[in-house]
Amino acid sequence: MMKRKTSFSSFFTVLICLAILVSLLPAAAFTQTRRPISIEFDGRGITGDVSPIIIGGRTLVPMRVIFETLGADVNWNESTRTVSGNKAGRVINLVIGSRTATVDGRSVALEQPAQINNGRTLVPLRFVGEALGAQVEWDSARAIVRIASTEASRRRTPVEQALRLTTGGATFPFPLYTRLVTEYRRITNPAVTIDYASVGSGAGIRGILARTFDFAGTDAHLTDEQMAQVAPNQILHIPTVMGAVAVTYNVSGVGTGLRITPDVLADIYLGVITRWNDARITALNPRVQLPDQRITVVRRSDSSGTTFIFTDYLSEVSERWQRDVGRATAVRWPGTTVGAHGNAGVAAKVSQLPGAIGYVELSTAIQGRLNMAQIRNRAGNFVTPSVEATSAAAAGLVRQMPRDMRMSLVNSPGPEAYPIVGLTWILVYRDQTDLAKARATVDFLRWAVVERNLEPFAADLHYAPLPEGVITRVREQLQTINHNGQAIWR
Amino acid sequence: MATKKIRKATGSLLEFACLLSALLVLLALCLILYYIFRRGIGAINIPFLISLPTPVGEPGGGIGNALIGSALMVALGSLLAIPFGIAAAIYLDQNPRTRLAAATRFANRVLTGVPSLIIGLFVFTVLVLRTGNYSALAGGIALAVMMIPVITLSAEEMLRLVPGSLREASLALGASKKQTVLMLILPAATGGLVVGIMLAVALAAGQTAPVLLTALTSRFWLENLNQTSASLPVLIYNYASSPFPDWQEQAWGAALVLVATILILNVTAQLFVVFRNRRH
Repeated sequence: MMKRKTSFSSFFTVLICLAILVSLLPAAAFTQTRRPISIEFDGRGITGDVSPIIIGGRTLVPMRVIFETLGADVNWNESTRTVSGNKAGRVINLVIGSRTATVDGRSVALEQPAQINNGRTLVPLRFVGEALGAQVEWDSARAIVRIASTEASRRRTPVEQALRLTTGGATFPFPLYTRLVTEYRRITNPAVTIDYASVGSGAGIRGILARTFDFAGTDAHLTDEQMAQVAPNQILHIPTVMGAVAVTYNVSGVGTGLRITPDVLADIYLGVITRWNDARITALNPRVQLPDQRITVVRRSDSSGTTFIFTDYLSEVSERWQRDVGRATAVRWPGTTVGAHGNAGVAAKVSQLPGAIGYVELSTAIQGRLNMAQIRNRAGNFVTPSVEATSAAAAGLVRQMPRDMRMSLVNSPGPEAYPIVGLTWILVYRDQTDLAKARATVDFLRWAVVERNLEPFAADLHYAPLPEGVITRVREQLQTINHNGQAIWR
Repeated sequence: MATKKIRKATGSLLEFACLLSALLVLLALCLILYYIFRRGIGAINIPFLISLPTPVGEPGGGIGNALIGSALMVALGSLLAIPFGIAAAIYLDQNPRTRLAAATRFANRVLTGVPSLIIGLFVFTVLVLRTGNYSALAGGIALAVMMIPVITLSAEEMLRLVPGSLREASLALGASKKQTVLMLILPAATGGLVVGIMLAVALAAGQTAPVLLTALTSRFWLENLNQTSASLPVLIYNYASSPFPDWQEQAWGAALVLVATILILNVTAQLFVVFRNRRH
């Protein structure tokens, strides 16, 4: 009996022990994952009096630690049990126990609410960090939360020593590039100085072929003859932005928005249509009182990418233009024309000469508040040049893009597309000879084009951003750039 | 009697025509100066003179690097051109009738007539393409090539103005040829030599094409002579043809700085000559 009782009690004991063990299991599991979590801010370790904890897969940290690290003011309102942080005008509010927070008055859902633990207020780290403009990453292997301020997350170190790249070419994207290289120099450490000289597309192409430029800008892609001067696929075409060429005019009594068809435009530049009240122009603009005035044709006197886009378009829409004149950065103009230097020169000539017509890049036309013609596109619609109409032109042509990205965007089939549109490229050697320069070049192009950092600057200057499909191709092209067979892209 | 009257009338008419032409030239100069001053003065302040250019759309920005680049390249050009030019002039003065002298004179006259663009292309082909590198050094050399003939020809004229009697007196007193050249002819001609040199400096400071083809341009500070460099004429050229009103205004400002610097240099040189002549 005794034996049995003993066996029963021992059974009972084991049962109790098991029950206790089972009940403890989750706690044990919990304590096991509860390795000390550390926080790093821009690479520096941060210590608080209470260590961060993970609840429901979210890291919570003492409020003062995170707010003060990110340089925000923090306030605690006892009556409403609200934590509020303020950094440079951005206000975030968290109520203890509430799954809704507000950022500048907007409601944001939280997976874990702010809570009080051991008399300390804990707030969700990722939400607070990102709401205050920092980047938050969780390194699960080492249990480190990495917070990077926006400033630091934009820093780049492509090279080990300060470096200067000599580049140049197309005038058309020059204003954009001046802003890009200034910004890129500011965020690279050691500084990468990229000097872009606005010498024209032709000089840019000569510079890359002669290797006097580390990379070059051009609005006209290389011809097959030029490509033949170097080994096959040796020079890559990296598109950066797209731009439109506006047709501008100065006709007494006629405002902006005159309608012009491709054949009329070609015939004006061919010298076939010579007066503004020509039947073919008045037929397009029945409501406009066109004067009996001679048309003065203004064109660029310098070698220019804008001329290339314009003549590329005329060659596309007029067989006679293609046969007699063709497309180039400088052409033999038919008929009587007036030459002017630069976009600004053409703009000035057109506004000085009554009856003048000319072509300038869109930003010049907008800055100078010039009259802009509506051009009939392939779909039959009259379109005023704009950034949107430029993007629409690319959308219609991306699928036909050749492997080497040497393509023309003029006369796009899109219904909303403006037809006189072109790409501007950066030309760069695939096989690089200087490792540091190669790293700086690839990193710059990656930062500007692939990571889309050029887009805010481009919008200001009326350039259209590249479509997604083209950016993917740019990434693939940049990945082929190498030094002694070693790819530079990392 | 009648012929005398006609002669007098013709004389005063011609005198008047000369005066008118002189006034016209002066008027043209004054108008150019006035216009550049009126358009440019608004852009000029201390930050404009000492800071780097800013990108389009960012306010401020200056011509500091272009000023330094221009000054450095012109100084480099002068450093190379002045010794060569003066030495050549001394040779021409001492041996005026040799074949080499005739050839040198001819070559220099031709060189002064060569467009600056061609000189730029020459240095570009010989230096930039060979080394694969645009540099301030190449820019200085291109400017030196432009300056040498101007200095040589003007210096020869100035040396020739030193009277033969003076040279004979020196030699008669037992001075060597070297002593005569160094201690008599050169000091006597200094005023004229300085004017010739200033002319060459002014010519070099205003050149666009030779500098653009050799030193290119830059939007940053010059750190060593092997880098591309900004310069005032190239900056003016670029900014004036840009579509941005603030750049166009800066082009006028830079033009005023360039013209004023050249004017001050010339006036200083003239004053130096006047002062020297008075002392003698």
